[in-house]
Amino acid sequence: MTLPTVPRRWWPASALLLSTVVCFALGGVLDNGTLDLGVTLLCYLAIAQAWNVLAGFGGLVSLGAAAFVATGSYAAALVLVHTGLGWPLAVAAAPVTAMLLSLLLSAALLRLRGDYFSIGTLAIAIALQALIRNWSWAGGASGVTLPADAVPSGGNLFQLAVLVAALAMALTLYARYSDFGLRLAAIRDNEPAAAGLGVAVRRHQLAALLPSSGITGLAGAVIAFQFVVISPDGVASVSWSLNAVLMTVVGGTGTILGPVLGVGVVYYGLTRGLQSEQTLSLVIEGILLIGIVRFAPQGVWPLLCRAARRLLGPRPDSDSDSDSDTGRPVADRGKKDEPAPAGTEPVALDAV
Amino acid sequence: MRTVRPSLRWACAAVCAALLATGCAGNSTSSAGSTSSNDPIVIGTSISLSGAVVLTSVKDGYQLAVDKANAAGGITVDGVKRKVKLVVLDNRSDTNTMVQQVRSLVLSDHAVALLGSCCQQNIDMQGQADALKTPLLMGALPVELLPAGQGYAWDSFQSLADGADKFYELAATASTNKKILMVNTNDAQGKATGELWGGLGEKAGFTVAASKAVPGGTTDFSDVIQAGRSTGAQILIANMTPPDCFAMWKQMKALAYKPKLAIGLQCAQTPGWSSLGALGDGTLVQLNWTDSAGLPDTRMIVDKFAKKYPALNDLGSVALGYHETELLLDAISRSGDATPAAINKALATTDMSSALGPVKFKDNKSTTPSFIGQWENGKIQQVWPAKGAVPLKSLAGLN
Repeated sequence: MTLPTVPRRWWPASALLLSTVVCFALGGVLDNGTLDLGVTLLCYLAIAQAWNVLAGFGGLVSLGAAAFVATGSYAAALVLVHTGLGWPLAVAAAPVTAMLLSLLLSAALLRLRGDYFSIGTLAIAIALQALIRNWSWAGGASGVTLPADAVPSGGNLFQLAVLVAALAMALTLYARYSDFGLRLAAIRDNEPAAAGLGVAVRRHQLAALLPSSGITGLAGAVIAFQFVVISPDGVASVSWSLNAVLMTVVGGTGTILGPVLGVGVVYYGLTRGLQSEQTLSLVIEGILLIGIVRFAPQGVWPLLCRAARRLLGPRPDSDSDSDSDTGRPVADRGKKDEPAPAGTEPVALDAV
Repeated sequence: MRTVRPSLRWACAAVCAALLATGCAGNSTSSAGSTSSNDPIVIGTSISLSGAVVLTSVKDGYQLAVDKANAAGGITVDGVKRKVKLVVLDNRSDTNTMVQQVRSLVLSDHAVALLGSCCQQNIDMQGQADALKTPLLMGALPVELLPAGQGYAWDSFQSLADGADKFYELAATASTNKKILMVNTNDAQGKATGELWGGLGEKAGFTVAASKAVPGGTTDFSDVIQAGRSTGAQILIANMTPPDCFAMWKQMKALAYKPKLAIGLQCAQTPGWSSLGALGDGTLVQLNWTDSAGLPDTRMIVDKFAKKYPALNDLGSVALGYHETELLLDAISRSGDATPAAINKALATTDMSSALGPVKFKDNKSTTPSFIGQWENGKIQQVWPAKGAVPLKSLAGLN
């Protein structure tokens, strides 16, 4: 009897689908405290994963995630407060507005390279916070209070957060396994070479920026529903950008599961675990970041993968120590030539 | 290529469907607020203990009241003595962290009531209290600034108007041209304070010669100082965070701007003010408490904390924390069942005198007395009202 074959790349997609369904189902059985913690973790995961697609796979190191979180939060809140439309439409407004903003800014931002791109995105996040603070229709510095009865909460909010995080994970899987992702990685690693081979650099970067900002905006809408009261000091705080970078770098940039681990370590392990000892938490975060940049620039996840592989023995069909199996630090992008993919199936350059 | 059996895929799909159905069917999660009568009553706070604002003295006040209650065997709720557990979380002066911590206090730690932080954070916290339907008792927010909410936030603190009136009464006794330079942060509290103080100043016969709004973290105040100099303003009202005031005071000295009176709202209350040395001498400060006003429990607070906090403003912060907690514990005791809804109801009928004075809430607000103090040699002394005060001195630091 011949068995139908399933390509290897479908396994992560199946695992994502299964996890999404399981997590969605948990929305009905967990207690309120756990659900609230889950919403926070899932929002951080979506934001970190969206940053990962842009920086880890696209090489565009953004410090502007806060701008898109704020755009999504405020778009959803203002639709609810000023139009009286239902929350599904408010949720839909969030990614649309965030993507429109990124489209508007892309003309200027995508002309910037390296550190200049990072500084440009940071400037936008700070400028947007100042703009909101002085925008009286959006509540100014006091912010906006959402009608608590008109937004999902508890299990429903958790399920919404699950879908947003799943979307972010799906985007990462697409960036990892698709032809598009391969071309994006080529631009990241050697832009002139990729352009020379006919890859439309600007178009691909825009194609990464748009969904990345859309998902960040979508996470912003969930955050607005969770916070109920949103203010420029909260949802437009640069800390969203810094957390996205920290969580992804700690977990592993350019990997699929790295940000998942990063969110767990940074938020659950440090911020939440040491919430009555915040100074200690900040010190540990700093030491962790320095340690990772110095000793494990690929992040913790690739390190764990390598350690596990050493323990279990090498796989017959792969070279365990090559860059092709591990995430690479964003700072190293373009310093090495990547090996050309072999075979007909797209081969991702980084670890899962 | 690897393979997977169709039966396995079907099994997975079946498990998924079952879980999905469970999830959709049981979306009524139980509220996490009920505790048995043997458990301690949990109250919580997310307060700035690190970062831009450090409120350790307020936290000590919270703990003092809880320790006092527990030393007496706990508080009596429906005839039963119950211990009180205070959960204190440091929010690093970060709004997002504060929101997440408040939610975790109520949803995970089962706190039946909350104590506030300071200033703008209290306004943000109010939304959480309303959303979670959990009473929040706050101070450190002038009563005029408490937004109209859904009734779960309670503010017992001084009034901006009362403080401004006392300042203008004092300023009228000094020899100035009655021209004011006003500097406020551009957040909600800064804007509201600026408008109220400016309006009351005009009523009291003063003129706002120049008014500037600056974002938190401003380091260059040259245009603000220039505005003060060009208009000849001899009275400075600065409503900013401590680091911003420090920077402005240094630049005023450098640019030789010498107002005759200067008051630092928000900023000059902090112990860090003494680090300015002689430069800070003569600066006025609005106080919510003094040890010479005959307020309840003054002796106990001074005896316990005068060594740790030699400055009057810090002792005032301890008194504030103690005052908030006393009010809350009183309401819990009268609530009958220590549930958030019952405590909220009991707070509305509060009628007691605590460390900051008598309290009776109207529209969730209760005004406590204001005092004006003046810095000298690293200490604050009450200069207004005249009862229990020392004479006003010149603004030595900048002149």
